This record gives sequence, structure tokens and C-alpha cells, in this order.
Amino acid sequence: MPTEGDENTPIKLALPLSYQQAIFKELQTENELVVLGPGLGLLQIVSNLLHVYDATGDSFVIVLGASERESRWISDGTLVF
Amino acid sequence: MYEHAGASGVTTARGLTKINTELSNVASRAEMYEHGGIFSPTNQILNLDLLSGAIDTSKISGLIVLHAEEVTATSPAAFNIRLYRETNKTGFLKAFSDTPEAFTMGFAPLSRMMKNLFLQKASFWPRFQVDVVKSLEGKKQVEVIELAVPMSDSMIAIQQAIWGCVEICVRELKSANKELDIEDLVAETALHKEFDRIIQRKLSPFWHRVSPRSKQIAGDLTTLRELLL
Repeated sequence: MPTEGDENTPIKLALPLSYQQAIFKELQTENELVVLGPGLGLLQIVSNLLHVYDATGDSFVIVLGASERESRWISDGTLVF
Repeated sequence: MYEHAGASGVTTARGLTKINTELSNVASRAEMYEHGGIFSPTNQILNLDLLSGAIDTSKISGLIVLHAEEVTATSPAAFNIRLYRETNKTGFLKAFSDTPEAFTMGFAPLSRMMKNLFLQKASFWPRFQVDVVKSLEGKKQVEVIELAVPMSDSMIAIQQAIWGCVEICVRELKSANKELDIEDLVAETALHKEFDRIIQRKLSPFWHRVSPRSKQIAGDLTTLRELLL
């Protein structure tokens, strides 16, 4: 889903499944631990979340515990919108 | 050294910055932190930067912890979270895990984990959660066909031989270590329980008094279990 745009471009999310959107929504307001069944797209949610922080521009976020593979995934994920 | 994942469609986005070697010095990292963005440092580097003051913790908008199940009380990750939370009470803190099995081990695993993570709320999304099921199921019900291959005679013989070994090992451990209370450990539980870990956990309070022979047997049990599965 490529978006060419300026700062007014609405942030696009790539979370097709409704539970992913629900988790994402929950994470907007809550500080919490999310335990997801394996294979349910945890990294997708994380990278979408990071994309939002990234797009707002002035945030300083630290990601802990990401493996080499995962951080590559996340960087690709934040790129692909 | 640094990998910049360039900007996305939104011009303010800067992508993820990975910091995974200590080749860079604290000063240059401090400058990067100054500009903000998303960083993924290793625990050791973050530790160093938090302690040396390279990161102004009040400027951190939030921390995201992946593989939350690996955060134990003494891990560097837990130390980082503590350093962050002690000085910054307003930033967000979100933890993620997709290994729910890890939360079933030991005593009160979840509450201990939450303490390590400085979090109060946990949200669980197993595969059988209504919303998840609805999202994953199409219009058609998925048909699952389970096949079980029966064991051959020699396989059964091997399994029984290993069971025998396990039983002898457990009996010997019991007689050598009076403190060991493992009544529920019979050969049948050996199949589905992680009995070697259970025994090792029960032995650990007095591990220093356990004879080398018993230690050897405890180790052998792990090998035997590996053979069983």
C-alpha cells in the first residue's frame, strides 16, 4: 500500500484482521503486556504501531529485544506503507 | 554500523535505526538519540547509554519490549526497563510476546513477569479467542484431518526400554536424596511432563549437597527425555 504524500497524509495501517485492529486500538491507550498466540501476526502489529510513532515525527521510541531478523522485518514493515 | 531504513510515504517518518555494535561511541549515539526516532539497540548498549546519561530518559516517548517472555528478574532487559521507569513515569511501555507457553513455567509466572515489566495489565489473544477465530475463519469451515501412525513393535520395545531406564533413574535419585518429593513422577507422566526440569528444580535448593552421582543421573534424565520425544 504505497502512499505518496506530505505530512497531511493520513497514516495508513496494514492490519487486515479485525483482532489485530482491536489489539492495535487497545495499545493506543493502554500500557500493557500483549500475549498473542504464535503465528497471529505479532510483528505486524508492532511494526504498525511503530509506524504511527514514526510518522508523528517527534517521538523517541526504543525497541528492546528485537532479533536481527525481527528488526529487519520491522524496518521493512515501516517502509512498506 | 547503523542501518537506516529510509523514510516511508509520510515524510516525517524516519524508519528504524538499528544499533547493534559497540563500535560507535557514546557521544555519537547521544547525538543520534538527541534527534529522536525509533531505535533498536541491544540490551548491553542501551544499558551503557542509560547509565552513562547518553540518553535523556525524560525525552523517551516510549519503550517497546519484544520477546517479553525472556525478561527475567536478573536480565539486562529488566534492568533497562527499571532504569527507564524509575526516571520516566509518563512515557509508554508496551510488551509483546508470542510464546504463551513461557508463561506457564515456575511459580506465579505471569505476576512475576508483570513485576519485571513494570506493567499492570495483560491482554491475551489466543487462537481460540472469538475475534481471532472469526478473523481467521473463512466462509468455509476448515477441515482438519488428523493422522496417527501406530508405532512399530521395535519402536514400542525401544520406548519401554527407555521408560525402564527413567524409572530406575528416578528410583535411585529418590533413595539417594531424601528431600526429593516426587511421588507423582511415574513413567506415564514422563511422557507429557518436563520431568527432568521438574526434578532439577526440586533439587536446586540443595544442589550443593547433591552427590556427583545424583547430578549425573539428573543429567541423564534429560538425555533420556530427549530420546523419548
